[in-house]
Parts: sequence; C-alpha cells; structure tokens
Amino acid sequence: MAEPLLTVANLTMKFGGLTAIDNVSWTLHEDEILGIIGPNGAGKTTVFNVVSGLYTPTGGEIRFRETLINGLPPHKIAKMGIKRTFQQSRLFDTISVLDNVLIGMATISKGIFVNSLFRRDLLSKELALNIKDGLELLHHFSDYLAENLYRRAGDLVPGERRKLEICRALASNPDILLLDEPAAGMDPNESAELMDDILKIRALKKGIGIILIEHDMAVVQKTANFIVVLSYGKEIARGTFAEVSSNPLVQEAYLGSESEYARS
Amino acid sequence: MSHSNTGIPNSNAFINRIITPFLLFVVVAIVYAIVAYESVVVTLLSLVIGASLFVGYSKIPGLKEIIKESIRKDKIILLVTGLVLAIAIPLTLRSQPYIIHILVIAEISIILALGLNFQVGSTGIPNLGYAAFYGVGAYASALLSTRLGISFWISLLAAGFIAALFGWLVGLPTLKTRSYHMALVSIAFGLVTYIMLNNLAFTGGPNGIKNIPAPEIFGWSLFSSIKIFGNAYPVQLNFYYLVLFITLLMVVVSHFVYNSKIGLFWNAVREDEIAAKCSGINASALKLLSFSMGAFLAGIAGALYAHYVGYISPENFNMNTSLQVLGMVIMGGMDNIFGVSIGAFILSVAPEKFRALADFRMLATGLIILLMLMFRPSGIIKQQIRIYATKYFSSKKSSNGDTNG
Amino acid sequence: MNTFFQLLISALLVSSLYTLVAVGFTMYVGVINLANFSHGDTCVMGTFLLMPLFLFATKMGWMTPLAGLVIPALIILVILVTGLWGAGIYKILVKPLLVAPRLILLLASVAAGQVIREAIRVIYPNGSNPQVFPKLLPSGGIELSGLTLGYDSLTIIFLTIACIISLNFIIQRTKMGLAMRAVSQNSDVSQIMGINIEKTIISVFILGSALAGLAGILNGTYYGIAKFNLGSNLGIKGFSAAVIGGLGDFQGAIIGGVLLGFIEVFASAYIPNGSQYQDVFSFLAVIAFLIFRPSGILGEKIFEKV
Ligand SMILES: Nc1ncnc2c1ncn2[C@@H]1O[C@H](COP(=O)(O)OP(=O)(O)O)[C@@H](O)[C@H]1O
Ligand SMILES: [Mg+2]
Repeated sequence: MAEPLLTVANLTMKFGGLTAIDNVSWTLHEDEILGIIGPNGAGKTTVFNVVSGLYTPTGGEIRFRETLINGLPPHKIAKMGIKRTFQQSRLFDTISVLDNVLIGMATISKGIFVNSLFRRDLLSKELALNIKDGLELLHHFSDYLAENLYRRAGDLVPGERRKLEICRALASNPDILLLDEPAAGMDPNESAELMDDILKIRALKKGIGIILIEHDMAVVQKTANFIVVLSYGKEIARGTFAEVSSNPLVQEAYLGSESEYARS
Repeated sequence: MSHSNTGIPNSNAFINRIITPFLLFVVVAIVYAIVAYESVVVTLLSLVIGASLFVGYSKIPGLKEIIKESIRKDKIILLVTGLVLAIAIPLTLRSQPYIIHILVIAEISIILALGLNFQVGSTGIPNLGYAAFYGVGAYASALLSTRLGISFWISLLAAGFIAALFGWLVGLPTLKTRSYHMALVSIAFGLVTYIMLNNLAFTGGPNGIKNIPAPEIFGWSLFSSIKIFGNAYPVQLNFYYLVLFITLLMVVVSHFVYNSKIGLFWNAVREDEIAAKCSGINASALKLLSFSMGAFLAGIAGALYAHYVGYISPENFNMNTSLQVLGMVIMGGMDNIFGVSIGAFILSVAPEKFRALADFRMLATGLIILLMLMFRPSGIIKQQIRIYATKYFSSKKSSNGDTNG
Repeated sequence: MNTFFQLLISALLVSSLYTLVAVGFTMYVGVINLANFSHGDTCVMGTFLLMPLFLFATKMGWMTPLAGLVIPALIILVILVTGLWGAGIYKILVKPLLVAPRLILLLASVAAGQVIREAIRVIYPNGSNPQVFPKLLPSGGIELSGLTLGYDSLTIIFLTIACIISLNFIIQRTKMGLAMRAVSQNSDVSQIMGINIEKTIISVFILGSALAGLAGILNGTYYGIAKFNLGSNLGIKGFSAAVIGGLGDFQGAIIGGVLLGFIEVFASAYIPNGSQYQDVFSFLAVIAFLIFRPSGILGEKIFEKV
C-alpha cells in the first residue's frame, strides 16, 4: 500500500469575493500521478499556488505526509520536497541553463554565506557534486540542454524551456512534483515526447508523486492514474480517465466553456 | 560560444601572442594619459580614442572572441601586471599630489560602487539612498575615533558593521512589497539620514566633524610622508596604498560573492522572485543579505573617506552622491565586477579633468545614466554568463566543449 | 484655538499640494505600474516656467491693467507646457523602456528627474540659489473674528478642490475616464475590448504632468520661494501620499495627501523641535503603512498573479 504524500482536505481559496477553490479534497500517494483537469478559470493553477505556499488558503488543510503545511512560506515548502513548474514558464532568463539548474538545488545548498566567503573548498565540493548531478539530469531530458549549458535560458525555444523548468524543479530530488500545463503550446510530437519524460521521471525517482494539470487529454490519459475534475473551483468528478471522460457533468463543463478541449 | 567558428584561424600564433601585451599597452596608455596629464585636450582625446576602440572592438566580427580568449588565457599575467602598474604608476606622480588624491577617491568609489552593485546589479533592488550608508559609515568611524579615541582599524570594521545593520533595517519594511516601494523607502532613508546629520548635536550639525585622525600602522601615522632616496613623497601616496589594499580586498570579496551561491541566488531573486522562492530560495533573507553586504562596503568606504579627508559634513552624503554611485554602476555594467570598477574609475576621475565644467557634473551624471539605460542598459561591460572551471566537469564525458579554454 | 485654526489652514494647504502631486503619481502606477520618480521635478519645472513668464509679462507692462487676466493665462500656459512634457516623457522615455525590466524604467525615471533638476539649476540665472517666487495671488484676506483667511490660501485650496472634482468627473463620467479605469484594471482585456491603450496612457501622462505643473506653481505661491531641488522632496511626498492612500487608487491619493499634510503640520507643531523633523514624520508614517498595511488605506489586499 502506497503511503499518502499530500493530502488536501476541504481546501478553499477566496480572492476577495471570488471563490477560486471551493472545498476540494483529494490525496496524492507515492508513485502516483494525479491529473487535475477542468476548463479555464476552474482554479487548477490556484491549487498549485496554494500548495506551493504562494497563497495562504482561506480554508481547509494541506498535509505533506503528516505535517500541516498551510501558510508556510514557499521556500520552506520547496525545502520539504514539493517543487513545481509554472503555466507560463518562469525561468531565470538572463543566466545560463546550468545556473538555472543549480538554483533548482537551492534547498540542498548548505551554509551559503560561510562557504561563499570563508570555505571556498566546501563550496567547490558542493558545486562539483551539483554540476555532476545537474548534467546527468539534463542528459535525461534533453541532450540539447546538456550540451548548451552556457546558453542564456532566455534564448531557448519553448520546448526546451519547458524541459529546463522540469529539470530545475527536479534538481533537488523532490518528493512531489507539480506540473502546470507542461504540454501547452506543444505539437503532438512534442507532447508525445513530454509523456515519455513524465513517465521517465517516475522511473528515475522511485516514490515521487506527480500532480499534472493538463489540457491535452492524450497526455492525461496516458500518464495519470487518477483524475480530479474541477469546474468553477468545485470538484465535479473524480476517478480514472475512462470514468471521468464518460461523466456527463464533465462533458458539459468542457463543452460549455471552450471547444478546444473537445478535440480529445 | 565556441571559439573555433569565429572565422579567424587559430593558427595565427603571432597575433595571439602579441594581443595581450598590445591590449595592456593601449589600456595603460589611455588610463595614464587621462590620469596624469592636467589637460582637458589630452583627457578628451584619450576618452574619444578609448571609446572608439571600444566601439570598434564590439563592431568588428570575431575580434571580441579573440580578445576575450586571450584575456582568459593570460588572466594571471594581466592581473599581476595590473597590480604592478597600480603600485608603480603613482610613484611617478610625486610632484602631483592632487592626482594621487583623485586616485584615492577613485579607489573609494570602486568600493562604493561594488556595494551598490550587490543591490542594484545582482539582486535588482533599486537603492536610491545609498549615500546614507556611506554617511553612516563615515560618521560612525569619525565619531568612534574622535570621541572615544578608538583606533582606525577597529573603527573601520565597526563602520562596516554599523552600516550593515542600517542596511538590514532599511530592507526590513520592504521585503513583502514591490520594487518601487523599496525605491521610496531608500530615498526616504537617504533624506532622513541627511536631515538627522544636519540637526543632531552629536554629529556636529551642518558643520560636520573636523580633525578626524589619520590611520596609524604600528604607531606610524599615515599623515607623515615617506622619503625614498631623499625624495619626500606626498602623504596622499600613503593613503593610496592603504586604500588600494582594502579596495583589492573588496574586489576579491565581491568576486567570491558573485561566484558563489549567494551571487547566484541573488540573480534568481532579481530575475523572478516567485520562481526563486518556489525553487527554495529564502528571498527575504537574500534581499536582507544584499542590503547588509552592500551597506557594509559603503560603510567601509565611508570610514576610509572620513579618515583620509579628515573632515566630513552632511553634504558629502546627499542625494547627489547616491546618484553618482548609481551612475557608476549603470555605466560600468550592472552585475559585472570589472565593469562596475571601470565605471567607478571613469566617473570619479573624468570629472576632475573637466573642472571648468564642474557646474555641469550632476547634469552630465543624469544624462549618462539616462542615455545608458535607454541605449545600452547592460553598461560598458555587460553581465557575463558564469563559467564554471573545467575541474567540475572532469568526471563526465565531455559534453561541454565550450568550457575548456 | 487661534493657533489651532492657523495650523488647520496650513495643513489644508500642504495637503492640497501633496494631493495634486499624489494624484498624478497614482495614475501612472494605475495604468502602467510605473513609479515615475521624475514627477516631483516636473512640478518644479512648472514653478520655474512660471517665473520668467511672469517677469516678462511684468516688463511688458501687462500686469498693471490686466493682472486678473494675465496671471490665469500664464498659469494655464504653464500647465499646458508641463502636460505636453508629460506626453513627451511617455513617448521618448517610458514607451521604449516598457519592454525592459521594470528596474530599468524606474532608474530611468530617477535619472530623468535628475536631468530636469540640474537643467533648471544650470539654465536658470543664479539657479543654484533660492529664487523669490512672484506674488501671483492678491494679498489680504477675510477677517473672521480675529482670524485671517488669506485670499492666497483660499485660492490654493479652492483650485485644488476644483481640480480634484473635474478630474473625478473625467474619470467617472467620460469615455476617456472609463478607458483609464479599464486599463488600470487589466490592460490585456481592455485591448480586446477595443480601447486604445496608447492614447489612454498618454492622456494619463498629460493629466498627471499638468497637475504637477499646477502643484509646482501653487507650491511656489505658498512658500514664496522656489528652489531647483524641491522636486525630489515634493515627488517623494506625493508618492508617500499615494502609498498611504492605496497606490493606483484615485480617491486613495486624495485621502493620503490630506493625511500626510495633517501629520506633517500637526506633528511639527506639537512635537518639541518638530519643525526640523517635519519630513521625518511623513516618512515614518509611510514606513508604518508599508509594514502594517502595504496596500494602503483604500487598496485591497492584492494577490500577485502567478
Ligand atoms: N491572484 C489572483 N487574484 C485574484 N483572482 C485570481 C488570482 N489568481 C486566480 N484568480 C482567479 O481564480 C480563478 C481560477 O484561476 P486559475 O486557478 O488560474 O484557473 P485555471 O488554472 O484553472 O485556468 C479565476 O477566476 C482567476 O481569475
Ligand atoms: Mg491555469
């Protein structure tokens, strides 16, 4: 029986008068990929923002394993082992690919002040390890990135940006990875590749739990073990892909909003 | 990135061999001409030649790579030669104490600019009241030594730490707010410090503090001139070497900071604070660190200034000073230690050569900042990609052809 | 009682000046999220434009018969020029830098302020020293049971209120005002709705700078002197007022301006030695707000969009 990694109970997030997440509950287990789908504005990204600590939820609980993490600042949550990507990629544009990955290892850097000024030897050791791991990680996802370590992140094409963002998130070896629409703007080939990547993550890191927000139903179908459907902040369905996609409420929610989702 | 595709054959060994000495010669000649000659024409000419060489350098395809490459190759030689020249050249200026004075001010400006660069350049925090930290350091050190008789070396360090404390305090209220709030708080802090210095009794009000003692090294005062072969050298030279030593120390510190996790995480905060936090960076702590460390350098610079000039007043530390240092950072190149030092050097030496136009100095500073921001926001030497030494890649199969060089 | 009444009038006057500056500041933040640090210097530009015009008009002998006509005409002329200046600043400086990191734009506005300030100092004859600002408003006043209400004070307060009311009308009732509000809310959506964003932003710059010009003139009138470097202080006070009221909020700027004026005048009067530290009180107030209520009095808590 897989251990629960992240448990969300009666989660609610209100922005002034608008309720972006309305009393939502679910659990993510080890080795599981949880899909969160729903039309635009359903509150999916807000779930990530709340879980990663950018907003303090106005109601409910978020537990990482046993620990209550609502209201913790983002860097502490990252340090506990929850990492994310962003719907609109947010790389550190003017610095290099390698530096982006090294920043992804912030949570495993120790004594940065002392090492920077007084213990350069320790810094060197840490850097050597970091770079070795970073290179390995990059090689898993993209040879291009691994061979262009010194390219500015801002100069990458969108597909490589997404990959770099995933590498940055994975660099600290997190227990939970939150992926916000990683396939957005990709062509079918690229999203097929992305699916492989996501499955690769699971193979690379035993026990990692992934939450995937995705509009590309093919990706969701292939990867997610379990799906929660949100609409206007409320959960309207849950289950396997087959169960969810045959649910009339889900079909209505999608058809009612945007035709784009119908293509799956 | 890789230098084999620049179109210029690497086989031209002769050019490769002379390029470093040639560069060195040109740079030294220009700098020497600007520094040592009391003539507007010479200064102007040197500046124009320097600027056109620089523009040419960035325009001619391939040249940039060649020069970069040779600088990287001959780094040690260049550094040693630079150091030797920095020590030797002032010895030739025995009869021109005023020029040595300008050089001391230039050294102090480099420390100042490096400190502001931590904040504006590396972390992307607008600090518009930086002169206040400079002032805090100067007054702290001056008061400690005139009132309590504390020795220069202790008061120098104390000035750094007191300024750092102020930096930390000023950073606190703006951690959760936007960058323009930071700009506001820093200007406000600058003005409040200025008002306080002018009105408080123990800082001497508008008259400031006089008779600040000169530093002593093992009982020997820096206000006594050195005699070599019977020639007395101006006392400014003593300070030149003292401040040179501390400036070099600060350059090394800045270099360490830049090439470490601190510098890297500062960049992350500058580029995207939210992504930085979600990567696990404690952005608030790093911003406070940037404030404190920048202020520390300002404090050190302030103490040096106070004990060098011997007299300080609030006017030394007003908004104009803040903008001047900002100009050095922006002109030199934000987040580039070498660039910032060059900016500091140019903006502190050049105006002294155009003293007839002294009235226009602040207007010129404003225009330089404005034009740089509009047309070359990266400054004279732009922020570089951090290159990690080859040793870090040794174990891996060579996937990084562009690092060895 | 008597001094209290005088203080009240001073507070209203100072509040008026701060409000006029704050309104422009807050509108820039509203439409393009720019803190324009040259705003205070635009005010001083107004001050220093008026003085030579006034001297010229006096020399030409227009003042004696027609002062009541010429002075308003001069003020309007100055306001027009500073308004145009605002449009120019947007076109030449702000617009090209909108694509750059915000830090660059902010620093550029600081530098622009410095350029205005120093240009005034070197161009204006004897510009480094304080200048006597001409008396634009009639002396004398209304006597009320031993208290004097100067005509000049009344005019300043009246003009400010008139400006605020007209501006409020523009913002609430006109198409342009609607566009400004829409752009402040969300410029992407406004674009889709067919609003000409460029035109809207320029109008905001014209309005804001015109008000700054007026504020500069009134500032000169109130204190009777003009100095090239008053702008940095005035601009920061305007910014502080806007922050206290709620940055980006028009009514907030008014509330902030009034609050700041009152804090400054009354704290200087009632705290021993207070007048030396007049500016310190305002800054303490704004820092207190940044710590405890960074969104200001009227601003709602903002959740930064991710
Ligand atoms: N920072 C915020 N402030 C105010 N409203 C927000 C904020 N973030 C999201 N919202 C609102 O919450 C709702 C859900 O948004 P979001 O989570 O981004 O949707 P999704 O990712 O499912 O498309 C939307 O109506 C959005 O406008
Ligand atoms: Mg979303």
